[in-house]
Amino acid sequence: MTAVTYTEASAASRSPAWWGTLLLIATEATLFALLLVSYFYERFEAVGPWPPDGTAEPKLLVPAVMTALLMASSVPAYLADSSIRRGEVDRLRVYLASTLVLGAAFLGLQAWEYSDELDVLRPQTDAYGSLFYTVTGLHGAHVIVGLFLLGWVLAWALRGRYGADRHLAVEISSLYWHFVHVVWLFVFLSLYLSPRL
Amino acid sequence: MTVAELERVEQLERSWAEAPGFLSWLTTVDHKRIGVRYLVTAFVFFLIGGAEAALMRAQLARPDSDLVSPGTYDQLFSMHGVTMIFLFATPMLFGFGNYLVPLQIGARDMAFPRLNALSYWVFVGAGVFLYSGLALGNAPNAGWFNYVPLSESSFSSGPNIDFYGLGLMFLGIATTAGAVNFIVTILKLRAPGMSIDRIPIFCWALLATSFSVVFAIPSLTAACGMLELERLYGFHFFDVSGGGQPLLWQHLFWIFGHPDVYIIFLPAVGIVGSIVPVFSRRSLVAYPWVVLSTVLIGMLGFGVWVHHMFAVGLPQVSLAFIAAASMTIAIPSGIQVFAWLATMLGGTPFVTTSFLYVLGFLVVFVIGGITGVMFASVPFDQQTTDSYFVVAHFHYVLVGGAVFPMIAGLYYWFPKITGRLLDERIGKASFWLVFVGFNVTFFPMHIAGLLGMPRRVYTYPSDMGWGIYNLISSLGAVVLTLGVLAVGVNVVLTLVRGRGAGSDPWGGNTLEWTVPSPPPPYNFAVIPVVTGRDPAWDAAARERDHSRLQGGGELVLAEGHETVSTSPLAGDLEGPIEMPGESWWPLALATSLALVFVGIISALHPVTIAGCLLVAVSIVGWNWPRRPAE
Repeated sequence: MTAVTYTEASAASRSPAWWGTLLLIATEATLFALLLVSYFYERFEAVGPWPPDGTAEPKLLVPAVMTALLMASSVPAYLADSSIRRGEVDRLRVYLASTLVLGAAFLGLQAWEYSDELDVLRPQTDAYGSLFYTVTGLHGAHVIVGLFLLGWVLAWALRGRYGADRHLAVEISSLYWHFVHVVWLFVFLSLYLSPRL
Repeated sequence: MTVAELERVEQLERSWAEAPGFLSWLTTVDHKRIGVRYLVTAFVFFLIGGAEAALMRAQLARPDSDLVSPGTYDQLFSMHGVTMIFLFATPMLFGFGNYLVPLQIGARDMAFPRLNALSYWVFVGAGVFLYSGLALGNAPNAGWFNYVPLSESSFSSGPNIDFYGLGLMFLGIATTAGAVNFIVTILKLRAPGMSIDRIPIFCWALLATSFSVVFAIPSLTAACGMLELERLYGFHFFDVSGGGQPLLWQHLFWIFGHPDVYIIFLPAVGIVGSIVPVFSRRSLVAYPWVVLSTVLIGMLGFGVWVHHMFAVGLPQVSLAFIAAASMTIAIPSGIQVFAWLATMLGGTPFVTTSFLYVLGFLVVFVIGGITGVMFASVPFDQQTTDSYFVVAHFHYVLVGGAVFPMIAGLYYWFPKITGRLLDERIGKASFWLVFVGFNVTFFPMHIAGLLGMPRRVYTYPSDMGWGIYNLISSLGAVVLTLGVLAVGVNVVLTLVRGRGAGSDPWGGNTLEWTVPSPPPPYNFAVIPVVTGRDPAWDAAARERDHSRLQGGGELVLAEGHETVSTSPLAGDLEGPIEMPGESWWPLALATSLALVFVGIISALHPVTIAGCLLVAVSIVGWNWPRRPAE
């Protein structure tokens, strides 16, 4: 019988599911990039001040806290992934729960900020308002999806589903969460900081 | 056959067989069944879009005609464009890709079989959604690029445009999911030994196309999303009264729209690149150059969108850059054309119907390419914008660049898909009808355009002098229709009483020709190990595959429902991976998504909310672990 002459991969590379998630992130990141490009396009083509007359620049305090929360939340998301690679199930649960709490706090603050902001600016007010709520709203929707993902993984982690050789769902939800976090940095820079520059 | 081989094949038959009957038609995840479905559905949309074109040609055949009303005519040309671009061209090419990619790379299915099923159902759902507008007499009517302010609610108050905006967002899910599936399949599921410099040219084309899709569709989604927020909920993005910018729509649309031309053209190029070597009896000349050109065209496609906007009054400097970039595309396109010609000249071609269509493609596409280079020059473009010259140009590029290769691909792969050879006499007759009909239809449009005839007019006065060119075009359309019908008749006749094809009627060079026609559900009884660029011509390697099936059983993977994954660049073996089987969830998820869009367009919020909940339920059900927790 003939020996098989293929070579084996030296180190196990990423799974199809990881590549699929990465491409999903690539297409979503493009969507956000285009929305931010639209924001700057409308801003630089607009006649007069930006934000338009009668609208104050967005307040910074709450969004800054939100940014800190989301940046912090990426740390336990990373640790969750690396701990389950070593088979540490208890740590996985703790880290997942921490990410969930920080993400939920972000979302709570965003809701609070909206309720404040909506008194003076509505999506229907003008192009500025439309872009502001569309971009932040779409990001918020991604946070919600990310929280569902993490909640799902946590639920299965509590039932002892994951281990050192079985952690794809953790890896993928962690990757997605990092994406949600990084997108927010661009949103924060563009919508909140840049009008003050 | 040895006993071991028989047992292994029987085991594969059992684990890969899908349940018979109608239910399995709804739950299948077999890339071949889904691929055929894509091909058939896209062909139906081609016939519908063709019927719309026929009505327009009938209307334009003589001046001052009142066969259709101006309003109907607007819906006809809008739906013709939307149908041919979105519901025919891309799905047809994705159908070829679905059927062929796993077979050409030595895999047993796509990387995400259920996502594949979802793509198909969403595509059908979005097609029905778009056409329900026509059924209600409210089809999109602002052209396929749907410029604002015409498409804003102040000028288009009915639901017509909403069918466009929401329908294309819905369809974008299918296209994106399909593209992600192609990329991961081609990167991860290739047979061991198929390193990146051995990937079949058709798969390279789909890879480049799919990357374009991943980065282009978001622009269409963003544009349509903004438009619908504006139309349905009073947001402001494009309307000047609310501080918006009308030109933003044009930028976003063409940032998608120009890459989309290559999304349609590149897979067609892949078909041509597959057919030319086989009928020339030699390997493709300059394979690395053709591959690099393919990738380069996909990338350059993102840098030229403004050449659709030369006449809107942008700064001269940006026009100059875009004009230069647009002309650059002629270089990789030229490399490809010369590589095919060199392959033909260096080989000993034999002319089949399939090869004839490839030759027809070369002639028609090169003419379209030449007018394309003319448009890249700003002053010429400004003179001919929105004239019939443009209509002539893009039909030469799209029909020449996509439809001719598709028919070539049909004649080439039909025996693989059905096990029967299409009739060559009807085939050659159909080629001449299509080729002559096409040129008689579209060449006169160049002249009508240069004489000043604008596109998208429902009629014209007789003293303009355009009548004779339009009459010739309309007569040509009759011949073209006969040619397309001849293709259809050939398919039907062959299915009824066609000659058996055997596994390899053409002496093909890629792996699909090493398996029976039609291929078994598991594609390959043993995963092949690839040692060169033309694996089906490598008899020794195929003999080694077969002896593994008879002997030790390596890479047969008969115990489970598995294929192998390999490393993205070198194609080194990583190991077997488990593949999912039949599932209801793709259909459930597609239906739930459809509910969401129906709820939005009809402003029935409970339907939208129910749809969203069902989407969540479907995703949870889909991902529910197949094995209990350990």
